[in-house]
Order: sequence, then structure tokens, then C-alpha cells
Amino acid sequence: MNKSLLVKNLSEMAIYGCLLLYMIVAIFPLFWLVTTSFKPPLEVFSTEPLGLFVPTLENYNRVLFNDPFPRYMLNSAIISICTVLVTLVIGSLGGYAFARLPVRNKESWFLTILSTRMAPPVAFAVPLYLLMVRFGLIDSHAGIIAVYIFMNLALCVWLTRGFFQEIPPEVEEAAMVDGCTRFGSFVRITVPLAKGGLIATAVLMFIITWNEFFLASILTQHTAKTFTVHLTSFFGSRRILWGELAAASTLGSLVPIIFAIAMRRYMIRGFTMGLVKEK
Amino acid sequence: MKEKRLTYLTLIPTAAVFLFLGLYPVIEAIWTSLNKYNLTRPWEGKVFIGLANYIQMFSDARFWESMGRSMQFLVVSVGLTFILGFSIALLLHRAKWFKGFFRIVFLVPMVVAPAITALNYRFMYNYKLGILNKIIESLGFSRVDFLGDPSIALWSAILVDVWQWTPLVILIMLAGLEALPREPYEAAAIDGANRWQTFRFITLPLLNKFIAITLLIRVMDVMKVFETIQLMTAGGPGRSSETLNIYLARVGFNWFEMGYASAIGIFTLYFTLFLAWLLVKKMGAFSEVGESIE
Repeated sequence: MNKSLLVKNLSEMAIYGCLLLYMIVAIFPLFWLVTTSFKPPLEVFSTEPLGLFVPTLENYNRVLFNDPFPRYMLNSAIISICTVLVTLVIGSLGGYAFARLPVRNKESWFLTILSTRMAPPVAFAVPLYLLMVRFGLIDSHAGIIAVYIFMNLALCVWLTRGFFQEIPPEVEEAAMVDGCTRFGSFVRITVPLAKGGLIATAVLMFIITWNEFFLASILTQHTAKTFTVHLTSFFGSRRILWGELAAASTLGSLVPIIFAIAMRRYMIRGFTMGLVKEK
Repeated sequence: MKEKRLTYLTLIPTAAVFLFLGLYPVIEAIWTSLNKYNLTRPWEGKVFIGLANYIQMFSDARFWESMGRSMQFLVVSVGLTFILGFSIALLLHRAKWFKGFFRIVFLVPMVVAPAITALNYRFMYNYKLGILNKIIESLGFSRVDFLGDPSIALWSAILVDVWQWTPLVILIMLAGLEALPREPYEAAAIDGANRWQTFRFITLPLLNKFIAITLLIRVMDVMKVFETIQLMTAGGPGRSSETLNIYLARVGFNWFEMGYASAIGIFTLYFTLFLAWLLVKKMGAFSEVGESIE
């Protein structure tokens, strides 16, 4: 009796030991990033543990007040918010059609939509670049937003479709009996009921757009440049400004991390195109 | 009748975006891939050359080498994230406390921008001063030139990808483990099955769907990897970490050979779709994926 209890305790301790070890590995790079951002510029590479160097806000001061970084962060915010709003309107209409209305060849639609989620952006980059050149949209907010709408739309249609399906159709039918049109009942009944799911979809799309680097790096230069692209400018010709880079990276990571934690119930569902639902 | 009209009206915006920004670019890329078209020599314009770009591609050693590295990246990264992620999910499933806390922590690596992750690892991988080498030295080993050694650079990039995406595998498989029914385990216990038998003949088959989904998502994500390599080594040293995506971006946006880049792009696109199709078909995941459609 005592012995088996001991074995049980030991195995439990082993489990927590492994989990703790993995957690340290998972979290250390970000811990190091944040630590570096508070180090004086000349000591970025010092490995003295926290407390042995004097934390300074110098890097943040430079990044926020002596660098165009805030402007590009604002760009990222504007572009991400516009992308999310437009995509949510277009995509939730599409999602509703898939959830409720008779659509022919649903399966082939699914594969088409899945394929745009699968395709590496690099493969689309050349024609998108030529398209933007043709319409004079290189380095414009409109151009990059259009591309991001396309990038996010498949995910949006698919996720909202799932959220709409979870609402019993009877609710809508009741509204229609009371004189609502089909579309009216969608806007007044279904959308408010699916609010949580729609917000989660919006947040996920925001994170994806906010984090995007490659397409922004080829489709924008100055006017519409996003903060991820600007990060590479801390690599000067003579030296790399690691401290500033760490501060800018920390600031740029805050929003996605906070959003992800707030929406943690929906994150896995989002990352798997709605194929896996967490409780 | 009215329903039909509403179907069209609700689908038109989505269809318009897909036609204009999805289908049209693909058609444009197919057409461009049949031309010689260099943007740095605009006066030459587009010159139709038939399949010459594709012929060049199939005899381009650099293309095949980058393809090989992409496949190495694919197999190693998907394999490692899956084994590591599944193992940790099994542990986490048996843990009683702090489950919610671990779940939150595991979200972090995958929502930080890949560009930030890449630059941060570049800092930590630094040969002389990086923290990883300092840890390695303090353990009594000799320093590793993570990004400067041609035989290691690609592995260093794979490691970053594993770090970034193992949490996703953990959380997917954990969702699967938590959805397992109890009855088969009770039956197995009555029949006297040992732990391994229970795992092999009950847990694994019941998790089939989740394994298929994990592999599908991972393959799709690995085929997209760009920042992780571009911002750490830019394909170097030499070409030792140049994958298909890196080579493609180089042809298109360093050399501006739009024709040849389009050919490689079309190939990459259909190759990725083929991989996904293979996975979906062979793993019998299609019925599962299909089930979630209806």
C-alpha cells in the first residue's frame, strides 16, 4: 500500500519534472528577449542574471522616441484592423451561406478554400507583386490590405461557418415566422448569438496579419511598411542594434500574446481551421 | 427561389476575392512562367518561350538542392514536433494541477511573429556571445557555430521551427486525449491488457483523426517556412540552408527573373497541394475532414 503510493508519487513528480523542463525551453527565448530589452546597449550580450545589471529603459526610449518604429507599428495596426473588419464582413456572409444555405459542390469548395490556406505565400508572391505594380498599388495601404484580405478569407469563412452551425436553425425560423426576412434574421438573431465566435475569428486574423512579414517586405517600402519589416532595419551596416531590436520585438509581441491569452478557448480551433474543437 | 438568390448574394463577395486575388494571380503566374520576363530589363518585355522555364528548372541543380533541403526540413521538423508534442501531451493529460497554466504558456511561442522569433534566435545563436553558446560552454562542451557552419545552419533553422510549433501539436493531441471515451479502457482493464497494449490498440486508433489533422496542419505550415531561414541565414552560409521558398524569393525578388520565378512558384504551389492531397487520401483522413464539413 505504502509502496504503491510511493511509486505513484514518484511518477507524478517525474511527469511534472518533464513538463517543467519543457516549459523552461518553451518560454526561455522570450524571457531572454525581454531581459535583453532592459539591458544597457553596451551590455546586451552580458549573461549576468537579472538583478546584476541595472535595468534601463534606454532601448525603449530610443525605439519609441528616436526611431520611426511607432509609425510603422501604427501602420501595422491600421492595416490589420482594416483587414480584419473587411474580411469579417465578407467572410461571415460566406460562412453563413455554407452553414445554412444550399450550396452546390460543398466538398470541392472546401478543397479550394483549404488550398489557399495551404499554399505558401511565396508561391503567390510573384503574380501578386506584378498585379500590384500594374495597379500602382505597391507601397500603398490599399494594396497590402487587399492581399491580406485574400490571405485571411479562407480561414474566416471556415471558422464562422462552424460558429453559425452551432446555433440551432430553429431560432432563425422563429424570427422568420415573426416577419423577419432570412437576411434580417441572420443580422438580428444569428450574428449576435455568434458574437463570441466572431470576435475570436477577428482576433485570430488580427494576430496573423499583425505578424506577417514576407508579403509586407516585398509589397511595401515606406508609406505602408509594417513593423515586422522595420525590425530588419536595426541591422545597421556597421553594427546590429540588438538592444533596440529586443525592445521593438517585445513591444510587437505584446498585442498577439495578450489577444491569444484572452481568446485561449478558441486558439486551437483557429489554428486547425476549425478541425479541432477544445472544450 | 429566394433562398437561392440569398446564397448567391452571400457568396459573391467571397467568390470575387478568390477570383481576383486567388485565381487571377495563378493564371497570370502560369502565363508568366511561359515567358522570359526580367523586371530589371523592362525594355525587353515579355518574350514567349514556351516551356523553357520548366525545362531550365528540371535541369537546375540549385533548384533540386533547395528542394532536397525543403524535404529534409519537412521530414525532420514534422517528425520531431509530432513525437515531442505527442509525448508531452500524454504527460500533460496525466497531470492533475496547473493544466490550464501550461496551456496558456504553450500558446505563446506560436503567436509571436515568426520574424521576431527568427531575429531573437539569431541573437541567441551568436557564435561568440550568444546565450546558447555560453550555456553550452558552461556545461563543458565546445561552442557550436549554429548559423555559420554550413553543415549545421539548416538544422538550427529546423530547431527554431520545432520550438515554435511543438506547442500546437501538444494542444491538438491534448484535445484528442481529452475527448477519448472511457468504456474501451474499462473493457481493456477487465481483459487484463497492459499499458502498452492499451496505448497501441485503443488510444492510438482512437486518436487517428487527431494524428491526421496534426500532420496535415504541420505539413502545410512547414511548406510555408520563410522568415525562420531568411532572417537568420538568408539561405547561407553559401547555399547550405537555401530551401525552395528561399530560392524562389531569390529568383523573383533579387534577380527579378519573373518568368523563371513563376515557374518555380507554380511548381511549389502544386507540389504543396499534392502533398496535402496525398496525406488526406492515404491517411483516410478525408472522411474525417469531410465529416466536419457536414
